[in-house]
Amino acid sequence: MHDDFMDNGFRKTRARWMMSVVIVLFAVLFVGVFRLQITDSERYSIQSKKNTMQVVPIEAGRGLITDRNGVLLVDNRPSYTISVLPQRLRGNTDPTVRGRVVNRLSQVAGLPVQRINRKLEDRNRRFHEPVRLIRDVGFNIVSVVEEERHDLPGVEIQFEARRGYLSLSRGFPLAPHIVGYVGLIDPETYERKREMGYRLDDQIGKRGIERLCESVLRGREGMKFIEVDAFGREVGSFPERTTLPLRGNDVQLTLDWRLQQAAELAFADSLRGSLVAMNPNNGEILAMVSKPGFHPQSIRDLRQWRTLQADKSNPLLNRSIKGEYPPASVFKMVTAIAGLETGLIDSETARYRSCAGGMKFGDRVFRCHNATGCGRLSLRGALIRSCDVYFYQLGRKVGITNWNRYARTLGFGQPTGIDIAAGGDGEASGLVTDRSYYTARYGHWADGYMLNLAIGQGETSVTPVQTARYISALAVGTLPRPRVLKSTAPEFTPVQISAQTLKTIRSIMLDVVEAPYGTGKRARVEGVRVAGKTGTAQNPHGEDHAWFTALAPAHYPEIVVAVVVENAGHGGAVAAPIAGRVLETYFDLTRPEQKTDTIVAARVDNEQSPEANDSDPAPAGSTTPAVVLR
Amino acid sequence: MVLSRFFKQELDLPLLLSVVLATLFGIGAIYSATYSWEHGAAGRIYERQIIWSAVAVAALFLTLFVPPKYYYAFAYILYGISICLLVLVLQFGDQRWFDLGPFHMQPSELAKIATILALARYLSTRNLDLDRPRSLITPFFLVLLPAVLVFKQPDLGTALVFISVLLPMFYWAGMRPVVLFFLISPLLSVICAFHYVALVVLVLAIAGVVFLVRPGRLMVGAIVVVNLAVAVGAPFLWENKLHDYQRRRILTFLNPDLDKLGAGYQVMQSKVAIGSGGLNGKGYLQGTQTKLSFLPEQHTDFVFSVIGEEFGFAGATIVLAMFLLIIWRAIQIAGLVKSRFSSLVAIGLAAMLTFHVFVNIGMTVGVVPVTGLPLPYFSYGGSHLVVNLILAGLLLNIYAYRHEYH
Repeated sequence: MHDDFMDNGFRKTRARWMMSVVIVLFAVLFVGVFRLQITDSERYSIQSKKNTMQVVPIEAGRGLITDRNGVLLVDNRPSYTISVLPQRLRGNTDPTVRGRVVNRLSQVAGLPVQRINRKLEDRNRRFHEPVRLIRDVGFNIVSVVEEERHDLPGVEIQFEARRGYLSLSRGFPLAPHIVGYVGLIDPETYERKREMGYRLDDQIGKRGIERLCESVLRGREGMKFIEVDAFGREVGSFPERTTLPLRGNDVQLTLDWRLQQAAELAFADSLRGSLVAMNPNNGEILAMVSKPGFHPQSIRDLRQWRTLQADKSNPLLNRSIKGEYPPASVFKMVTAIAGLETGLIDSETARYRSCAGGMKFGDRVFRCHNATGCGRLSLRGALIRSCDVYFYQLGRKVGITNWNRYARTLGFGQPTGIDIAAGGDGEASGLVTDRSYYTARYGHWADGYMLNLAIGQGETSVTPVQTARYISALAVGTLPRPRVLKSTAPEFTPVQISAQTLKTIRSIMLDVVEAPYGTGKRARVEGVRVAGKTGTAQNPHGEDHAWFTALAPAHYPEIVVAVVVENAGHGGAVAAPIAGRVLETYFDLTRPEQKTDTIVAARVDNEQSPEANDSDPAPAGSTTPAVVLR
Repeated sequence: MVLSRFFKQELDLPLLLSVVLATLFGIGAIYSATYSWEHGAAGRIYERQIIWSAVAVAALFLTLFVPPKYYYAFAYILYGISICLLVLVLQFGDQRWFDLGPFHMQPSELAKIATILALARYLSTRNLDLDRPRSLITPFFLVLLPAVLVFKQPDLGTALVFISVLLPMFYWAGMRPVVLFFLISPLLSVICAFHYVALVVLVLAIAGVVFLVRPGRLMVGAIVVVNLAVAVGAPFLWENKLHDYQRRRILTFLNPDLDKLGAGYQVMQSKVAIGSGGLNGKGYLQGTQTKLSFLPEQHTDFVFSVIGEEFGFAGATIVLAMFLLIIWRAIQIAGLVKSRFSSLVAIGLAAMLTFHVFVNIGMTVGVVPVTGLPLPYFSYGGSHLVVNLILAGLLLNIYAYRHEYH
């Protein structure tokens, strides 16, 4: 036993022992390195060249979009994509290989060499992701690439799903503005979303439901582990490691595809405008049309897409929620309600000066659309004939403050809160003016402004969906929040208008359609009592816009419809028949026992035959919309 | 004047140069590990390492110029602080590190040095009889406390570092080899507990040593109890207390083909990378294996595989030689200083360095199970680099003050 370890001899011995242990340990490491790098070097070199483990993502199916009956509006269809693993090209020892492969691909696919190189060198790509060179290629190209696989290292054919749409026979899909479209993720979005597992050439919902419900529709990608050789061929796999992809969830809309189809067909090809059909009792949108339409697949072709974006008629715009139109006579019910609620008038007593085709106010003559004059009218008569002179006078009495109050109560001048607006379109709030608006803009208020406002002209604008909601309020006494998603909860805003007033208005609107001299008689539907109101909006830039709004059945409303057709003339002549067709279809569908020729009227008039869909669109128990020729 | 004389006579230049070279080599390896042919160097990882190494060099010189008596004076306080930090990081931190805005601080790194200082201070007490079990209680406590705290993070590799310094420091402090054998015997029991033939052999060996040496009754009792407890407890811990990934790592080490894509995957890829480097390597930034395959920790724990692939056997040997030189210097220094405390510190540091290098490189070449321990001076990581340069600073400091008894 040593007294102290600091004795020099003692330390020397122990240091020697310790160093021996260290040297033994290092010898073990040295032998390990030696064995790997000298003895077995050959074997590992070969392995390093030939065997590379790879993680291959397995695409997850995107959720489907169905209508209210579960009929597919958007599904997935197979397509082929040619992709390249750039590191396999770069890692190749022979530098000419890359050039050869790129040249051959350019020949086969008809893409310029520079474009392929640019895609391959994209710096944003994650390291192991294959670059998708050409999507949706034809089978002829697929077979060429497959044949020359050995000469094209790093080139792969991937099987991918793309979106397919339920289409009309013209090839246009139903409700493109609502279902929206998917497209390549753009670089900024990718930067924000890469943490969530998005890849640089992933598809992402860009518009409409596809965007609104992106998180629901998108599934979770799976992973496959494979071992590949230097030619990119799979030489081994690890099935026990595979994680299966998780398909996205489906989304159900409130639309009824048959009603949507009827509504889209009811618009002749040349017409522009919008239609909104809604259940006033819960805010469910049954059909929503914006014309002209577009094909969501156009986004896959840059030239087509540019053309669409540049198109002056603005086919990409969802007019139903973004289109702002002067409401014209459709707004006369607002003025009428203000009059009734403030006790200025009742519905049946003839009042005010008689209409002789116009009225002088100050030094200006305000015309009635009926140049020959309507005579002296009650509110009922004035609404049925849509007499402007009556409403000029009523408007003056009501005054801007009351008029504004009732217009706002009925939901104008503010967004409806419709769910689809969050799909990238946004929603227009329209314009309802008040006195301060005019003083701010023109320096003063004049009664002359009120005359125009009273008939829905002047500085007032509304969107079709606002109008549909307003008609719903007339129908059921509350403002429902419109929605196209089944999963959105119904929401109502109470309306401070007496039930009696609303009942009166409805009875007058019933006469608008049913009276022999009513302006809306072309919206009549056999066996159903339809109440409605026409509108013809003067348009300083061209032809008048035609409006028609309807609710039916008048005594227990189930559906409201708002139609606007741009630059098409008179509402009663152009818009009313469109609303009529939609209503007819609706009642054919809901009461099939009353009539037999279901959707046919709309179909035959347009000389359309429905396209055969590969999915069976008609759920059991519903009316099959087969063509029935009379 | 004074300073230039200091640099001539008191500075251990070979040690300093090896450490600086290793750090520079490490930055180069990290650059390569995070470099890709398409995108250049990924992220800012190597830049951060450069900034860290500047901080670390400053820390080295700071450590170098503080007289050793202060380390002695503050040894227990420093130990106390690092224990507090370890407790805090378990409670409030991110398990392993504190998130301090732009960087992370890993208290287990600081605790390594602090534990060595505290242990050295205790063992340098005069007339400490290491044959008496009572005088072993404090050292065991000093080491096991941080080890348990770090194990809870859970970081098995670093926890083992604390234990690894204990026996070499005991040995250096004068413990008899026989006592050392008894101390190691539980470790052997753990290994043998899974095979009864081995266990019988071990029991016979222990009995033989006991018979030859005839230690005190208390000692024999302790040996029997501890070995029994361990032999029974190890299989139990294996079944119930080890994390799945820890069990898998050990099993995979025993048979790498068991799990080609999990823990074995890293080792397999690392071996292919190093092996394919051959004699001269593939050239800097030319390693296909590290560039093309999935080695998720190639700039941290598996940085040696980058060196092996790109610089070959020549590069790997240079790295090994560099470490051997540093450790050899540390043991030399321990042998020539006048201060008992400093001598023990130097041995502790040498032991820690040896353990790190052996476990890390051993794991990349497949002779040691994957434990997730970084390679000193090479692996990416701020706290780790700073602590390793402080370690070098301490050794240089001890050498510079070698004539003082303090």
